[in-house]
Amino acid sequence: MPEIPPDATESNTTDTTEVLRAIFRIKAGQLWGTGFLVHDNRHILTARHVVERSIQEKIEVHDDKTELVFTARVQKILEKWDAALLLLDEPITDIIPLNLLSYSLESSPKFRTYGFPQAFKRGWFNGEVQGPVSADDRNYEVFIAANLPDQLKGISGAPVFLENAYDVIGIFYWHDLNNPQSGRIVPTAGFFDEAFEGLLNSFEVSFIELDDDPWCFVIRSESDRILEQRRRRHTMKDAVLDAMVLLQDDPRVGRNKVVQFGFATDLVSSQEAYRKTIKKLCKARVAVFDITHFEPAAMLLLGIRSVVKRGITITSYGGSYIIGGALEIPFNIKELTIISHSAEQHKDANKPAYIIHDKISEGLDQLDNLPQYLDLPSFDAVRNLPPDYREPDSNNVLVLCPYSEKYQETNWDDLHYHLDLVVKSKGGRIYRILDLMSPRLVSPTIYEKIRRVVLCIVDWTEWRPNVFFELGVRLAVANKNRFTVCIIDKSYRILMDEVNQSIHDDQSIERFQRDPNKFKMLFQKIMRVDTGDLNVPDFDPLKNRYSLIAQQCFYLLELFNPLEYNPPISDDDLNNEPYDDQFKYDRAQYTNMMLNYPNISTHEVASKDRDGLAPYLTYEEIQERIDPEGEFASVPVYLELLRTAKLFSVDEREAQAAVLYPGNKKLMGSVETGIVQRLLAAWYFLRNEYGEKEILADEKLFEAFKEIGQKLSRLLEAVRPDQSDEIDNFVRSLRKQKEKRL
Amino acid sequence: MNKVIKQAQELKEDAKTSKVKAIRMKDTRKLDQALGELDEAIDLLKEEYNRIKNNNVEYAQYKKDLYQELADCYGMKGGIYRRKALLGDDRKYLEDSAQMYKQGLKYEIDDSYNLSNSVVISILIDPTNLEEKRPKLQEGIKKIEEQVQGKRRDQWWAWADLGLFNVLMGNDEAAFNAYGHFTELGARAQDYESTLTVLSQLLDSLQTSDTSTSKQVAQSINNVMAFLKENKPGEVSLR
Repeated sequence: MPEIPPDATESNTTDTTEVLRAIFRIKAGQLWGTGFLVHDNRHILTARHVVERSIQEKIEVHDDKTELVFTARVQKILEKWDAALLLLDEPITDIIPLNLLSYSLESSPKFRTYGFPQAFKRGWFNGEVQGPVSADDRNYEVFIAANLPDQLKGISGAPVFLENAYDVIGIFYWHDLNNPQSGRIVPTAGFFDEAFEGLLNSFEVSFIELDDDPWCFVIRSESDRILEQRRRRHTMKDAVLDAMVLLQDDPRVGRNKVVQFGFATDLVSSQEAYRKTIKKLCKARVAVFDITHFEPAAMLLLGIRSVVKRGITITSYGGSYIIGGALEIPFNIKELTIISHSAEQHKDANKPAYIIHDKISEGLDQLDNLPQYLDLPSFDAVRNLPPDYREPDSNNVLVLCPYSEKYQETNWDDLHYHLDLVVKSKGGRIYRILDLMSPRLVSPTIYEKIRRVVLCIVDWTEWRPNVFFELGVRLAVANKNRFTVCIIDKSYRILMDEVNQSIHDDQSIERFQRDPNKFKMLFQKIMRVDTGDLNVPDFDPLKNRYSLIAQQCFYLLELFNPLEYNPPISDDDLNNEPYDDQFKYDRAQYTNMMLNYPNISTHEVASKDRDGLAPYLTYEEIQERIDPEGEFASVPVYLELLRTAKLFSVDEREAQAAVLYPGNKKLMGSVETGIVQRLLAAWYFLRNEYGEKEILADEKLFEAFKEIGQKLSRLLEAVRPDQSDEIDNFVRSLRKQKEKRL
Repeated sequence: MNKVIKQAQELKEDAKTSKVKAIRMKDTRKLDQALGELDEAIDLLKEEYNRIKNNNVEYAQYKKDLYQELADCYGMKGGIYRRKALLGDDRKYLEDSAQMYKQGLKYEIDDSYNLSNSVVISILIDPTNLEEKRPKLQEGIKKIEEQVQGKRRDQWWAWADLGLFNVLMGNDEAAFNAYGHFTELGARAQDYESTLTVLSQLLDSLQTSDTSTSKQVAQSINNVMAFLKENKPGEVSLR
């Protein structure tokens, strides 16, 4: 029979009883752990992983003796350690906090810990500290001296005491699921510094510095917000957090990466929020987009991201989508591999967290090894313009717009007719993405035009995802010599106002969605369509999407202030006298859209202060924040040469050709020569440009130098033995100097 | 990449460079230098392995990586001793070489370098061993055939090893088929050189034996060498 650990609460010594009063069960979301009162009557220490999913949420602190439940918030996730400091909303009186000790664990002391493993409810566990986890990981391995019948789930965050003393020397944070006698602790000595003491003396919650640059930035959808409100476990946030837990032992990621979450709606809710979001999109190594319902704000931000960062970008769809299922994807992101975080996908063996983990892990590999890694379509296309295709195109006007039949009939024909009148006279053309003619691939053609064209009109009518993605790209590339005019069929603005108002009246989106007729009636009234025009099966998705995006549409309208135009007037209406003035007004509005077209006559302009010109803040913010290392031309030449040489080099152990037609001896010969030439060029560059001291002082340079030298030395052995020796000797001597320094 | 693996790989790179220079300069001291570098790498890898060996779950992949590195290091040591025997004309190093390949075999996963070389070295030590090695050769053919059906399908060393085992078994057609793959998969001039050196050493050894099997295999090796020389790509030409 396995031995059950004794419950020391029965020992009844005064000291022990007092100590035990200061240790609590912690409940954060669905997770249980242990925590303990420190320093004063407001602070609780626990393990980071117990609470990190619940930052910004209430944490429950259970006092088993009195059966009281206190509430707390995460005050600070302690960087570098699996530990977090909680701040109680109300002080806990009459309990003496535990004393933290800055104690070195090098002597492998014996210890005991008390916590609340779910399998035993609570208990003391004795053990011995074994030693540091590794040279890179300053936590300590421990041996638990008890024959445990089950796992210690729930003990995370428990205080670790020196044997026969009540000073805390560590926090229990991990145990081996397969070997419950093996665990790990965080040494409290590790985070004992001024900053930590400052926190203990502060009652400010500072768990997230919203202005910090995130390593991973997650843009969530309104559907995800609803799931979170319903406390469902298959949110985007859960999937990413689970993936981050899986990644924490990966040395490229670790435990200290800042992950930030934001709902797309909130991220565009003000100019300030939008600016901060752009900054994060520029900086985050990983961005995860929840593109459920292809929300306009999410698509806009995805378009911006596709231009600003050669990083890892993951797109995921929720709802009822599972990978491989049918999903109508906007045409300009069809090349993306869209994953799923739906409830159905959670049931699959290939769970969203695993998929996100694999994508990040593989992406990090590829980013390091593939000089032109891309997971979004426009990054290179907007940059690498061929020399003859760089000058601005001021003659033609590009219109980014929907392609639906309804739009074509109701809006496009008229829009095209009126705009064309202006442009044709100057020898230019009005064209849409679909009208572009080029022998080149679709992507480079589209994004090159989006960058070059001086006047770009973006029609928000129908709130189409492809339009907002393209708008994001356009805003990211358009400097002050470009004009981006946003327009919208007035009905779609009114519709959104009405939907917003109805949701406000109903007090919830879900209530609004439950009403089978409300949206339909609004739509019919505002769009002036007959009941028969709308087929019922297609109506629900429209209602769901519009009700979810209504708030963010309101924010987007505030942010960009698009120029409204009236739905065109039918021929029958035109014959009626009262519409004559209206017609003139509409004509003026079309002219208004063209205000920024060269030499346009403005005598018919409807209102000069409502020209729909998008502000330049996107471009300005990016210009300031863009990561220079991501730009192809700013990669140091020796690294670029090394990378391309490696791309076609052979891993000697694998003995597998990188070339597509390795049986062609002539081809292989020229590739081999190309590899040696590249390495040689890199070598000459480094030897001429850098002195030994500089190379030794710069770790990155030293690594590149060593790698280039080693490879080259062997490759030259057969053809230039003397040079090979010289390179080998130089690299070896440099390495010896480096070792001496270390 | 893990620090220990990276350090070991750097030492292996040094050893490879030392070895190629030793061969050109016919300098056995450089071979000793390479052996020293490999010993250092082996010590590092073993120490790391001992640290994690009891943790079966968390380090499963890491253990595999360490095994692979250890197999490589021992295999390289085997090759260097073989070179020492050749350069110094001292056959006692062949025994050392055999010992190293044997060690390497303990760690070898998804590879056949130590396997093929342990057979080669026993024939170099005594060509009459060829007969008694036939079951081992047959076993090796089966193993490598499985590998080339799987993830080693595009690796020219796998096909070279398969070719070698078949030629030693007297399966000339299968041998040429395998060497055909070797020539098609992008092996470089130095890889041909290394393959030809092994075949040439085997040929020299088998020619000292009078058995009919040895004579027949020697003839096959001659044919394979001619085939490889004919297909060998040129060296890199920088101008």
